[in-house]
Amino acid sequence: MSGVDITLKEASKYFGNVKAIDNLTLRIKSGELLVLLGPSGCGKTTTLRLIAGLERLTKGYIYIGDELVDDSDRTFVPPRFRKVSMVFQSYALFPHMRVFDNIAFPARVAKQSENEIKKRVYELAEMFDIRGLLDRKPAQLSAGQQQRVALARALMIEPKILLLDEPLANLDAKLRVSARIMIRKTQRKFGCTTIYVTHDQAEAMAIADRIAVMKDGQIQQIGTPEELYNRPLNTFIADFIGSPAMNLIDCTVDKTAGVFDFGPFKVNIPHSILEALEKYEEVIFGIRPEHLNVSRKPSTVNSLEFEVVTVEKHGDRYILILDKEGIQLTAVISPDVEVNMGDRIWIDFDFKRVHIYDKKTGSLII
Amino acid sequence: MLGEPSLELIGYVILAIILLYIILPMAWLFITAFAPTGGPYLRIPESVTLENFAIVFGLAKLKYGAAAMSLHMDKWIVNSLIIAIVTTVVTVILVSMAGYALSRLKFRGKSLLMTALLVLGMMPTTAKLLPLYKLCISFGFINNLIGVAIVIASGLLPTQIWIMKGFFDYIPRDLEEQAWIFGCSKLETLFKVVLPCAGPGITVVAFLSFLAGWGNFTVPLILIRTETLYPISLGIATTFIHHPGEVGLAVPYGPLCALSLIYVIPSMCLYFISRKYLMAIKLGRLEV
Repeated sequence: MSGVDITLKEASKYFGNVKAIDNLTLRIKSGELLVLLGPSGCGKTTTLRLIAGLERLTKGYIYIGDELVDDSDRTFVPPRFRKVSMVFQSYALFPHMRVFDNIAFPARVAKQSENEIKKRVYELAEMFDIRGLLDRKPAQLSAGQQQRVALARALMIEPKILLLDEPLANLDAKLRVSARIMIRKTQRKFGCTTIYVTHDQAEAMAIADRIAVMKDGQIQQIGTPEELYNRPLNTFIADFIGSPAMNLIDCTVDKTAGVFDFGPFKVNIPHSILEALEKYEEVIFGIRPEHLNVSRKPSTVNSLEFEVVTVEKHGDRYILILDKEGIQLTAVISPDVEVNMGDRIWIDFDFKRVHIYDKKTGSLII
Repeated sequence: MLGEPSLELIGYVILAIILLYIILPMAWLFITAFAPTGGPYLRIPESVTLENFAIVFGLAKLKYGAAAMSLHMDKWIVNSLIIAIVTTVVTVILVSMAGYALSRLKFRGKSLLMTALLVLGMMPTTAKLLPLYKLCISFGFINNLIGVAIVIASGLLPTQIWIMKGFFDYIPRDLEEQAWIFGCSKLETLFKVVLPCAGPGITVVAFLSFLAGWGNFTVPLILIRTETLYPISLGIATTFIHHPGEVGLAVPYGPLCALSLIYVIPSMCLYFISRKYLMAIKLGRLEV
């Protein structure tokens, strides 16, 4: 069994004057797990609902495989003919049915034989470790159990497309980790094209083949987790992906002196990037906390002295908040070094890891 | 000096008086129904008999007083049942559909319609009686039990639609959308998902409309002219009307009390049967 391609072409969805989705073009490859990531209200759930057929396009086209399912005009294939499966954030388990009947529901609607249904329900129950719960009502289950029942039900008819709307939002932190491993494993096994909506960047990074970061109804960047982490195309993504968030500091480019001017201090611009900054004056200087070189003593002539404002000791790593005359930086270091509040330490920038953004547009310069 | 009676004691005394006020008529009804002779007095009978019930069901003849008068109590029970059941069926079907539509669909004039329903529901049926009567004549609802039921149902619909809409509002839309995605048509979704979830609401509507049909007096009073088509409510009332000014044995107290007891049974039964459902409502919120 395998999945099927999904294509959104110049798709727009307006609710009155609100542009939930604005001219969005997206191609999801057969069998991949794509995460739609973004803050609430960015249009990620709407995108999911458009693909499911729960909403109609205002403009544009949606294809499932080669079939046009919505052209925002005459053609509209209702959800029940789209062969998609969906897990809602609420899990949407039918409260009047036992777990068994819930899981069997899609197959019963499809009029499969009761023998086959029974076999398959037991198979899925085994797989999701809910064999003992089949006679219970949904209200008698924990959130984690409900989530597994919802997933089992979604896979009952072997869908080509699986849509997951914040499937882990109602679980506690520990369950979330095990649940996302289970989802990943299941998706690999069934090979269905999967779209996974979340606002949690760590969850997205952990589970995705590719991530599409959305904001205000548009896709900001789409790529593998590594691509998004290593080369965020604008300050929104730079800030959104990674924890703690990337340091983004306003500065001006002083071309005559060849330095970034931060106000209290200046940093030499390496020759390799000077040319690219030719047209810019106001820029945003970005570097991830884990890419700052922190040392006790100045290692180069460019080293900058910072004061340690706070130290968060997380066991496996220390998160430092550093300050130099009002400019604050976050740094992540390994716990081998003993650092305390009020210490003075030295910082170096590795320019291979530095991202420079245009202050006006927020987009990546280099 | 005597100690002041505790507040608790005063409370119990007040409760006892209220209880007496409620219980006494019921006790009188109960005793008279099982007594060989009865009247507008409360007396502990020497023996217990089921004869009054036999008379109600037409298995025995009235021996005294209004013996010549034909009583059709057995028919009245059946008539009341017919009215109540038809009222329930009509109300439940229409209310479920209307409530669902009002809960889910968006259309122009919806809030106006909802307000109109509320106002209609608050209007007493008697206020609409004259035009209703004319309408009933042209529909052939005179001396027609089904007609009576439909008129009663029409009076119940507005408020019941409001109640039912409230229940549907609490059923998450996710459930329906999930059913569509799994291949259900809208109609299948209604019958397989929405209505079962609305079970407690439908129980409430059925319960209320059955009792309204069973106990209604005004509508049959206007539409029913033949004594054999009377429901219990009209029957009991007219038994007194048939004997104006007469007291004592002229009124068949025994059978009337037996009939009254029977009249109470369905409400009791319905309550005990649907108690589980009614308790499950929890302010209309559906447990998911």
